[in-house]
Amino acid sequence: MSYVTRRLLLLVPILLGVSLLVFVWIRALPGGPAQGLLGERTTPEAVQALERQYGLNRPLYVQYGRYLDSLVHLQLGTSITSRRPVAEEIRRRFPATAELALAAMAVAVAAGIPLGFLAAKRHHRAFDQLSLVGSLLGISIPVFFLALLLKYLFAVRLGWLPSLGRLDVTTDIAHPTNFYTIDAVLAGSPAALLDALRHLVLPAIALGTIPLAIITRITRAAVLDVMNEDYVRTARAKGIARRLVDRRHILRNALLPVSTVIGLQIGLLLSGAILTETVFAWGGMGTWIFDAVRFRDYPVLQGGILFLVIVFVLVNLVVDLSYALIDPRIRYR
Amino acid sequence: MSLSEAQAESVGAAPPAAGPVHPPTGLWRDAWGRLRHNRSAVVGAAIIGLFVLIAVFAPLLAPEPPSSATFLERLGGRCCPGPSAAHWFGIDELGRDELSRILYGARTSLLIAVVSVSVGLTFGLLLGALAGYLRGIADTVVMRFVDILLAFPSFLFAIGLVALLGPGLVQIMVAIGVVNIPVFARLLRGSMLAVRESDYVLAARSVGVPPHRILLVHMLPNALSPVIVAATLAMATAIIEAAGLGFLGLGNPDPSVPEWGTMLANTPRFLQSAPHLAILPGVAIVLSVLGFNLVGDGLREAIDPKLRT
Amino acid sequence: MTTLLEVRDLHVQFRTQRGVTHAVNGIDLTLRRGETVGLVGESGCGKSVTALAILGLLPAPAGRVTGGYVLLEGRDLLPLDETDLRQVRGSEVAMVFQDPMTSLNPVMTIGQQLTEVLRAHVLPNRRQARRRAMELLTMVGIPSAASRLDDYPHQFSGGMRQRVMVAMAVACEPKLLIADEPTTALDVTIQAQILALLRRLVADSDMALLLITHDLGVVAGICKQTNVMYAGRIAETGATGDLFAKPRHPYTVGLLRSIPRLGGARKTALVPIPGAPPSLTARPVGCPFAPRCPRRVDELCWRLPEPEPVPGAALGQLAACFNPVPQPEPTASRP
Repeated sequence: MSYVTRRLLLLVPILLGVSLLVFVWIRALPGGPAQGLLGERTTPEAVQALERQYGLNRPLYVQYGRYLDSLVHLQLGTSITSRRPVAEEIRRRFPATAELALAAMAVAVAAGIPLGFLAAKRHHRAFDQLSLVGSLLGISIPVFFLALLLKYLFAVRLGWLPSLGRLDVTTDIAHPTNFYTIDAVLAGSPAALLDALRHLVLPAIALGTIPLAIITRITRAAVLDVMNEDYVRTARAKGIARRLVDRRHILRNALLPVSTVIGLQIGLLLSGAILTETVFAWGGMGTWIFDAVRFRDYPVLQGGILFLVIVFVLVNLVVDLSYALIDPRIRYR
Repeated sequence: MSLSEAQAESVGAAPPAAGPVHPPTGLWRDAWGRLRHNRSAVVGAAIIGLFVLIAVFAPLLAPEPPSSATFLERLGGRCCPGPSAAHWFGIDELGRDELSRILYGARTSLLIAVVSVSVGLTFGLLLGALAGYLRGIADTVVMRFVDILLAFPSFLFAIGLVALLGPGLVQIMVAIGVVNIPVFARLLRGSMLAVRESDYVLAARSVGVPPHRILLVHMLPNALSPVIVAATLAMATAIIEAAGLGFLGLGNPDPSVPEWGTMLANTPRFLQSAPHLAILPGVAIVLSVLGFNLVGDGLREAIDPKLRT
Repeated sequence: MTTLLEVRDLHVQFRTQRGVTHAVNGIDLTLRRGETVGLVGESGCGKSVTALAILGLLPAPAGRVTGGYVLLEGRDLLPLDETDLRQVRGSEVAMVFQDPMTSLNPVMTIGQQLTEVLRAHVLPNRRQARRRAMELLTMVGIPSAASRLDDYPHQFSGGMRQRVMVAMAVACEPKLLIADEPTTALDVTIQAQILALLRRLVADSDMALLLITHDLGVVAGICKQTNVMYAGRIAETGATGDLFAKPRHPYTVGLLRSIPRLGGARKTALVPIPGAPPSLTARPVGCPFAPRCPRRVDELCWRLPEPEPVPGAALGQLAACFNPVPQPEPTASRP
């Protein structure tokens, strides 16, 4: 059985387990769903009526079965607070979180790998020491504190960048994808694109700093490791150009551990997105789910959390598969 | 021959008498020796020591109690006066002395870090050792469950648990601890399996060392060393996660138990008028987290000298 | 035959955390065109370091050459910068390393790694390089070479990988091939195959071979000249036949006595050399072998012996010894 098939099959029990956990979690939350919806001053009759309406009075395994059935048919229900279908909310909000997370990851990868590589090449010199101190600070700073600092400095104090939201209220474009940068490009409006990018800068840097620090550290360590490998000496003995030795022999092998770490960062990004979105009033999944926890919005919790976890699991799958792509030894195992 | 061997070769098979003489030492004493000479570990330990002292002696160090209903009056409608001679770190939106609250906050953060990591460590190690030692079906069941738990982004997991358990200090410690369980379980199982197949365990088995001795003397110390490093780093993460929960308003509702993250929760509103309220508790978080990260890094290098770069 | 490589008074130091190590302390080596020369010694004697120093491949920044010359056809390689050295490496002087399991890049195909060296020096055209790579694989004895070009190193056995390493080294028809313990990591039967391959390649071209090994048996079969190294110095040098028949340095005698041989006189037991090589943390003063030497003369060994002709020895046989062995030892009579 190939690596890919095995990896895909492993997905089934994990997704089932995740859905069961979310299901059990929601039923275990203090105050039933109907109670949460109707508020404190309600009658038992009203609660019962609502429970009948949502099927909450049926045995748990029946509820779980219906829940799975609705999941398969992508029917995620309607938000109790906003009265909008959960699926529609996800369509609107997930692109916001994805745009933020992708931008943050782009910052982290684009800066982290070169920084780590340079630090390793300048081992024990000033740049290396600086990168060590910097990345240590980077992993020690909570994302929401960094977000606050950036917001204070660049938005409140200097006024260079906007502090809230994803677009200025005056910018009016259609949102076919809900990735506002893409929407702006589709609308053919450079002003809107610039506006979307200006709103994206601070949240992306805040969210990207921890992955940036981690990727820098891992790249540095991996490059230092690989530089001492016999095959790098072989490559040098062959008399090929230094940049080829760096790229083909050192960097390609060093990227193996780095790519695993990048995959692990996805969870961190989703966690950090909740906090970053709160600071910058970024209308994504994070703030939405957080509000759902506070208001006991069960359909949102059920659908939203499950959706986020599935995204997390799938992204990790993609990372694992791409790992097989760069390491031939895994492909054939 | 690898480059490191080339260096080793050049050093030569020195006779024991030549060169600086190292007394025979065990794994841990060796590691301790390296740790004491690791600059970052020493700095980190000093930072942690400082915060522990602050936490223990907070009532003596703090100029005022962390909260009182009477403090509100001295705001006089202004929010919020910055650092002054009377209040070095200024006062917050309820008129409380920010310095006192930060000093008391060290208690909360350290307590959460220690208790939650202990919870995660205890149950994680039990599960991991069980899986790593029993293998077979027990292993499969435990590890599948761990896989499922790890499929949740950790902070989302913690939020969900706090929602389940309700607000409060104990609940936060339990939530962050539970999030750590699958991490430690997988770590210990992995290193148990690696150690179990290692040459020195095979060698010990082949010369007839009894199984309980192999487990205690050969396997556990070696399997535990990565766990010790991870536990130190988990303290750092626990402080950050607790602060994050506090920042979202899921922290301890008791105002007489200040917590750094909770202290930051309202500050976005005062960013213009009172930036010190947003900056100072954050600096406290960064410093304490930095301390644990420095010690964790130092420990990793001390325990595994191969990683020293 | 003209001189190809001349190493004169080479010194190499390593700076480690425990201080400076004097790995190579003034050695001389000479290789003529097309000649096969052995460099023998225990691990730690500096033989591999010498090889790396010749090509400027010492691990930076710990290792550095602190004195001497490495003349390739009269041109000193040591002062060359990285760009000029690159022209020499792989094209004029190539190298085969000890461990074929770790010396090939695991994420590049064999074909990529072979064409890489060809394209750097002689065949920039990708297609021509690939065709030549196929010929090279066939030449070193890899069956169905065409289909194996796109395989990765982990799909080859150790012996096959070492053949690939050899193919890579001889790809640009270098004037000198340095083989650093090329058979040490291999099974005995595979060792013989690789040695046969090296011998055939040397015979079919005018490539010189510097064979570095701790195995006297390997040297005996293939090398014309042999240099015995001890503690970063040449202990004895000479034609391989002379050296094995009439070793004059007590260390060479010890080495020969400590190897088992089939069909040898049953009565003579293996004799290990007592003690261990000296630590090289200090520049050697006096004879480095003295502490282990059965023929030590205390009044003399405080000085450093230089390789010198020994009375009664064959032409070109030099031993760095104040009290050379007078008679050929009976156990060492067969090369």
